[in-house]
Amino acid sequence: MTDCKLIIAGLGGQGVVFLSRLIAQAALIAGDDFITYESHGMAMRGGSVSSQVKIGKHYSPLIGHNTADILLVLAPGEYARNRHFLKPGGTALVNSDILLENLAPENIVDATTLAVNQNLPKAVNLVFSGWASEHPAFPFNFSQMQQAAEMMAATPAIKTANLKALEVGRSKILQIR
Amino acid sequence: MRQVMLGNEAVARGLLENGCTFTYAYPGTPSSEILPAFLKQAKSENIAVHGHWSVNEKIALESAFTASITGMRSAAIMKQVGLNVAADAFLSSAYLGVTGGFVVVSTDDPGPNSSQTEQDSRMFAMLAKVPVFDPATPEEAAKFTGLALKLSEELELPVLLRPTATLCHARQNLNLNKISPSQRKPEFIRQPQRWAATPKNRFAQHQALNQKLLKLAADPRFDFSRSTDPDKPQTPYAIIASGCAWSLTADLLNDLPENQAEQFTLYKVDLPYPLHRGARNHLLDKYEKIMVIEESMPVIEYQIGNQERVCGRTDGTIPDAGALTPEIIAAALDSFRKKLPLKLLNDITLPPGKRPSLCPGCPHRSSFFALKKALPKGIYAGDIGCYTLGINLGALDTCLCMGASITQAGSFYQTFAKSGEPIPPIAAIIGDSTFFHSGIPALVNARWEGSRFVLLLLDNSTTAMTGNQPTPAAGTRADGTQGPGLALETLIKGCGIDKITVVDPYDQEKMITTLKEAQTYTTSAEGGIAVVIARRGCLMIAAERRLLPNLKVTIAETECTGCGYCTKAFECPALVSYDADGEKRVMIDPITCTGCGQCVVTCPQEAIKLG
Repeated sequence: MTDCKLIIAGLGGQGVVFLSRLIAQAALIAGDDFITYESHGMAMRGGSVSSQVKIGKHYSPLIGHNTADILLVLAPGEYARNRHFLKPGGTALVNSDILLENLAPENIVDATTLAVNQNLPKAVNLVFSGWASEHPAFPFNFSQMQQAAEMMAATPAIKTANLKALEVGRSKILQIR
Repeated sequence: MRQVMLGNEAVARGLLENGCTFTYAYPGTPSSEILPAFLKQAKSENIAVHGHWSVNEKIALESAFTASITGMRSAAIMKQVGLNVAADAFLSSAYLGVTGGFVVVSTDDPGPNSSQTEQDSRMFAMLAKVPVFDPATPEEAAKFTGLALKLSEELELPVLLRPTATLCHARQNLNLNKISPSQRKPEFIRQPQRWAATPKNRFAQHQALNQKLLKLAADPRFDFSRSTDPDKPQTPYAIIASGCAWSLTADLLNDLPENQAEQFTLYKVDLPYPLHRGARNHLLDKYEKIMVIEESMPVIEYQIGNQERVCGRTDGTIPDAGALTPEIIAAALDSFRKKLPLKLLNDITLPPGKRPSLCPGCPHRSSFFALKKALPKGIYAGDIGCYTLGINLGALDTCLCMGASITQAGSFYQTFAKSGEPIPPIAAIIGDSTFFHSGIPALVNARWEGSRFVLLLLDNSTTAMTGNQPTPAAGTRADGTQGPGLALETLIKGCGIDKITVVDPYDQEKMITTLKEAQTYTTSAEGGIAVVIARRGCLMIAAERRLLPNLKVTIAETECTGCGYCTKAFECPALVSYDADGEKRVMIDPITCTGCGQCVVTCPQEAIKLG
């Protein structure tokens, strides 16, 4: 049984909520229990938002300071605002076009540019998660994320775009290796 | 069958699994997803139900109550501040009682994150003398919704379900039960002495209500002293918690080192009001000291009523404002164990986050910009909706509660006028949905009182903030069927207002002249209230996005002086400041820009250009 606490941070409209649902869907595919929390309402209008995902047997979706295993960040400015959730030795993965203080370059990807170059400007979150799912600390593998993205697509066109975006993210990390 | 569900979807599931066929709601975060989920799940399982977006919460509660007194199971759904609007009906319904199971769902917003107050609906239940369930997880939300309907029917009382935001927007894989269609037929048994009770009968009803509550406080189903492992040896410390405060505490105790965790016994209260008397007495006998963890007010603590032996929100062991976090509970457990005052670790200073802002291309932004140009020294009485964000643009001075903009504008006028002081330009700013909710009586009142102001009605043809629920204007209903529409102009004319102008807020020039004319009208001899309807649809709706002019907007880097006027006074997310070799400049972010072209007029240097 996987037990993993993830924080997903970004700005309203970037698809933070979608990403938390995608990971929850992957947990379901893997047969794990989970509970997540999503930001709604006023915060959704472009402001700082975060979702929390707890995989394993938990009652509350809320994650305390210094306890998250993984921090996924879609906007560089949100890294410093959420870093304190990470446990010592935890993994932060950040979408950023610049290097960040206290973060190794291999934990940063410019998913925005990757997405725009592939004409997928609305799928930055999926490109990012394709990249993140290749990280050893990530609780699910790429194929589980693929299945989750397929299941969450409302139309065949969205499904194709989702899978392409995931692949774009993964190919980035495979190139480096 | 196991399925992933949002807490709010689980509430809807609980309604359907337990034969609730009539559901009324007014949208409000964090409650808005319940009614759509109720209709969607019913449709996918071919169950005939009726669900409707009422014009406000009072009407939602009255509607659901009425369905219930014909014997049908029903629900009224709202956020905590909506229960304030519905208070009259809610308190009265407790005296009259019900026949079919009747649950009121009032979702709380500790923090608050998306509300004007962080009040505790459980406290409201106490005021109304209505039993209240406090679910701790989405799975429990579905289960307690069913229990609430059944208990309501058993006691012939309304029952409140109080999920908090953490639960409403938590997503979990949970076990579903079968939905089976209700076989009930409505029957109204005439009992005027009950359903239209006079004050004399109301006294008798109050006494009967008290008897029901006493019976419930002794009901073994809600004996929370049995909510923990009976074989657990006596511990030095006991904690009583309910709802999301319980789930947070339970997780935290699981994460504590065993030598610390084994010092605590955690009791879980499902029904915080009326609190089970036997359990209360039993735990007071058993433990020297008890801590109560609850959100947001000391409802359980007050009912235990022993300030020497019980700590929590009343004595500062738990802070008396704000949402509970794992850090607060960890600190509270520590101070409880060590018998020391609460010491919160505030060693983290976070860089400022990005504040919420109107969406790129939002027609409200254009309306606010024009308002500031037309009535530069005005008082801007605001209201509740996306457009409360007008505060970022310096175009909103007040926000009291739903519908208050019109009353406040009127009262500002009266206060200056009746004091013999010069009257500043006054504008009320209200959205279409809020106007339907509670703006109409305010407008009738303001006209009657002889108030004069500009009423800027931001008509984006939807309830945008809460997720684009329809309004009566277009007439589309919650279930997608089409009802008769109602033109705002007709309605406002019916309120006795003669000066009404409809403008497209994207036509900035016309907006400014219209608002100036409206202001002139408020000061003319024959004048009064002037209404300007700024009409353009919300861009969260795909059909409205297709109406965008698709303009190509650029900023000439050589002409931009980096003065920042556009980013402050217009604050479009697509206007991005950047550093050009040490000089501040602004550029258009091509991904977020909607091509509305509205920012062009904002640049004092005329550096923002089309094409």
